[in-house]
Amino acid sequence: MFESAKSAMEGIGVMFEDGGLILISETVSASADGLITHFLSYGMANRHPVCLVTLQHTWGHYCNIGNKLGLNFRQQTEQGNFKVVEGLKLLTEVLDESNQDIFNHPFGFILNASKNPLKNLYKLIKKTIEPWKETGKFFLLIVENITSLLNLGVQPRDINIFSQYCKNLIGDSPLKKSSLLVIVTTNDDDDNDESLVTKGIARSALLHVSLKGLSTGLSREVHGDFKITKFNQHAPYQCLPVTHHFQFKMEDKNMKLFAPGTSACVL
Amino acid sequence: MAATGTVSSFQKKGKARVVSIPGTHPSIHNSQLLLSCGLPSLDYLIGGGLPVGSILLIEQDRYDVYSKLFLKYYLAEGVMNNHILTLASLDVSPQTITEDLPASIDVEPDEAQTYADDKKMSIAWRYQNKASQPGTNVGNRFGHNYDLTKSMDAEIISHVDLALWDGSEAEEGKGKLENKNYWSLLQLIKKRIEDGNLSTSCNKSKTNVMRLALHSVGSPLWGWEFSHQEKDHQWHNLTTFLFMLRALVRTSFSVCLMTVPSHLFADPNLTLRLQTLADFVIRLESFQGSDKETNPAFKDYHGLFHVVKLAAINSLVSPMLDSTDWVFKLRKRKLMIERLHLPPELSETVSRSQEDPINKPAGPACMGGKLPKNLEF
Repeated sequence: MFESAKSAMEGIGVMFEDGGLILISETVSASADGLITHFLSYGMANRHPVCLVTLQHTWGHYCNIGNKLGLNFRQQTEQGNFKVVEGLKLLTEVLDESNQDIFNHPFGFILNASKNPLKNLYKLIKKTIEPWKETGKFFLLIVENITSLLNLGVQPRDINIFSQYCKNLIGDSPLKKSSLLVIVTTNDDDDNDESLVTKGIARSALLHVSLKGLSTGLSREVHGDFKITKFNQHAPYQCLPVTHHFQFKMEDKNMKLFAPGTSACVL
Repeated sequence: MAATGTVSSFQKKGKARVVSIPGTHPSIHNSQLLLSCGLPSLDYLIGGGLPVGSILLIEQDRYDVYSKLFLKYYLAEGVMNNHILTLASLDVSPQTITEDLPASIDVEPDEAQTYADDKKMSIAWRYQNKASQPGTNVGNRFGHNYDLTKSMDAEIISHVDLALWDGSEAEEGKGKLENKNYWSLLQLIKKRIEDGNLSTSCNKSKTNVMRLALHSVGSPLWGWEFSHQEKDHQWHNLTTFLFMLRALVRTSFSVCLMTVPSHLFADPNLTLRLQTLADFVIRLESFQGSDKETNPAFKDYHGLFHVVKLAAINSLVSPMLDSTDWVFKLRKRKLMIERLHLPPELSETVSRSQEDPINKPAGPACMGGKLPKNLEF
């Protein structure tokens, strides 16, 4: 767990245990891998089950990052604590001509146009987390880079519906505490579809963490902007969302956060 | 008692994983298996080499002169290491590309050794016994040097498992991959991965890697489906293709280098999407036909080399560069990537005369005439 990210999110008044939807947006120049690792290690440290849906990277990528931090994610999957839906592996199955059951495949929509393209993927996720839901456990559902589905010709509208469904998955009943859903998007302001998806998800999110590369170029000491916005839906008197602004630097085993303009190369 | 010749009882537990694939070596940063691109300077820029399972995207220069050279270097390196090669091209016939690969000009290390021994050093005699270059393992060399003026022997190439794809046997595509070129190329790549047992899910030990080289993907010949509908984002064929390719490459022992004519895409979003999907993105901006060609600052170079994206694979930190301005230049025998240095200002009189305080019109009154004459700023 990165202490800096943890204290930044707690500092704005969000407790992960309360559950809800957290949106992380990244850009080409600032990757959200660090934060995903943060949530994975958070789940591991607190013994919460985690379901990770990877769409851009492989599971091995996160395992290797974990190894560097001294965390054995692979062992967690063997114990059933972590469950992984590997998008890239599933995608290669689509090309298999012998695959008869293409209609029920999560990525079957690539070959057969479907009215609800992401329905099968949702079903797969639902099946994966069903045991945890039944026991009423608190769990984490992390969907990595949901906007990469746009590349497969999925419409932003479908992705927004999908994210709403995922949101329902974590907190069905009002009696129980809701679990935590983390969705990662790529958000470039120039890309209409991507910002449409991001805005749509941010609308129902509790917290929006936005990672952006520096607009002025590259720096050794600063990798980008880390903006964290909290939408407080329960306080109607307070209209403005609270925003905290940091700059970040990824290190081999750590994520460093500091106030803008106080990086090592300035001070 | 000091017994000579006894072997220490300390031994490393567990078998050290020795990589036996020729032309690869593990990264010192994250133990990733790296492959050379054929250009040492490019390897340096992307963190030592191309990690297995990654995609390098090169945005072509306007006339596709230099990007084709990168492709040839990459293929030549594959030929020298006996890698499995797959080359796809529609704009140029793949045969012509393979016929014109640069030849390796490396001298065998043994020969170099004897040559060095023959010389009797008279001044630096202390270094007589030092090997002129550290002994390199011939079987597992990383990177070769190439000479662009010579082309590689057809016989060397004929020993390599090489598949050429020119789209002649394309079958109809399906669904989101309705473009027949993309669909059939994906099928070919998948077949090649299966034939070579390269998939990571296959438990056989890997003895080779595949190099994929895709030339000018997304050019009009690949299906100009986004020309008139571009505003409605009807280019998902290309992005779907790249996404599937990413999935295939990541789950197998292969690397991919593809060049893309991004200057032909009217919609900048498409380029952005491709950048997100690739792992390493570089853009070549040649000076040919632009006003930079005559700019004295660039007179030693042939183009700008933009590093757009360097992905962090299996680690949190991507390779860091110590400079942001890179240029490439083409010498007679080789292509080089260098840091951009402005040329030294040699002609003193020319540049100074403009700032000559005497010839200058009078400055603002507050500066007065009391400033020392030699002050130049």
